[in-house]
Amino acid sequence: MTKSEFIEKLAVELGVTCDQLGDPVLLSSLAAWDSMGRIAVLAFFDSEMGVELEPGALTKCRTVGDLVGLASSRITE
Amino acid sequence: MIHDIATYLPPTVVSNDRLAALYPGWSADKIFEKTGIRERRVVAPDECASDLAFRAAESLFERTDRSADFLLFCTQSPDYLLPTTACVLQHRLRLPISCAALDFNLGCSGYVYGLALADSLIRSGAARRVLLLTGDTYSRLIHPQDKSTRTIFGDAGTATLLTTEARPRLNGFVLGTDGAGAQQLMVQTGGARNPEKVPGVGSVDDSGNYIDSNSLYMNGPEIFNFTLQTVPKLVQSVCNRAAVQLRDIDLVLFHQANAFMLEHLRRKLQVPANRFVVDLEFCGNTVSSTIPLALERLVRSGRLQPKMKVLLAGFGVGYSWGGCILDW
Repeated sequence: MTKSEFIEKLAVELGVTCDQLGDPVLLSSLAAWDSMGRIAVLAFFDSEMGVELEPGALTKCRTVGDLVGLASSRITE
Repeated sequence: MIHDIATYLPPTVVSNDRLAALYPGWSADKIFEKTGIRERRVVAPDECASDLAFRAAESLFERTDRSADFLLFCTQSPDYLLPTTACVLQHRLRLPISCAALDFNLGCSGYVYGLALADSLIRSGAARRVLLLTGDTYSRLIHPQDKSTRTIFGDAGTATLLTTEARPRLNGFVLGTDGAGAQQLMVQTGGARNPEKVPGVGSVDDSGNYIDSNSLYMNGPEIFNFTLQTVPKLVQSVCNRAAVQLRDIDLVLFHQANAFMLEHLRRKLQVPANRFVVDLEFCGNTVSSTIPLALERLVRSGRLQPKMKVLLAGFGVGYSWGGCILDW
């Protein structure tokens, strides 16, 4: 999966447009970044990316760029 | 081994409409969409978890002999710090004084642990007739302004009678624990570690949920991540231990945590929908009672038939998990 494809799919999960998901964007600024939104993103990582996250990994993410970093093993530029 | 199951739900209903009126921006439909739950039951102010278990047991004893030589009560809501609530229940249920009685404190995995304990007691010859009760009143632990927990959890009690009969048979038990996850689903105060409630120290999280150390705290995303990593391995381990393939299982019955999690697990495990039990729409997540509640309904509806294989798995608070095969 390319980074742009990852951002497209992430945008769908979070109910935003791709241009709202630049790397520096704070996740806390996104309305959908609540408990259920985080669960949806975890499900996305699991089913679409095949990525298992360490406990607490998502909690440590502050920006969209941090999420991209979590998926880096499955993303090609 | 499982001779009979009876259940009890308290009569007070908390509907999605009622909750939506409390939470701006949340409609009844939105609550259902997020959780798969339309209603949950809650206890009356003077009602305890043991009362729910008692009523379930009384229903059971309407159709079978009032006897047991071992009473197990799974609860995280005991009547008292001491004595053991199971002792109180032995007396209330008019069981013989030769009956052993024991509480054990587990939640989501509790019913499977209870089956493992009962099965072991019977196989060892220590008991011949085990009454396994579950009961919890999470509604009493939840802050009214925490919609993440209030929309999910409900109260219930169940009673399962296990005997030396050959079938239905239990096998393939796999149990596990990871206490590193203890703080992800917790009530901090009221136990020996922090005996006093701490007034006025709550806060609102980024989802608008009020959280404080006196109420049930649940980190939904971390718990979901835990299930993604644990449940598939648990299912595989249970199948290996029972020498079966998942495709040979007629019904998969997990702890009914919430519908989104269940559907994701179903897809991840590639279990056909007609073999995967989802049954929490009208009672919510009743902790250790979810599996026996669903089992009883499967029997009553005729969906569970003799010779069917059912894979049971409970997972959650602790973290704790357990699974087994039920040969009905």
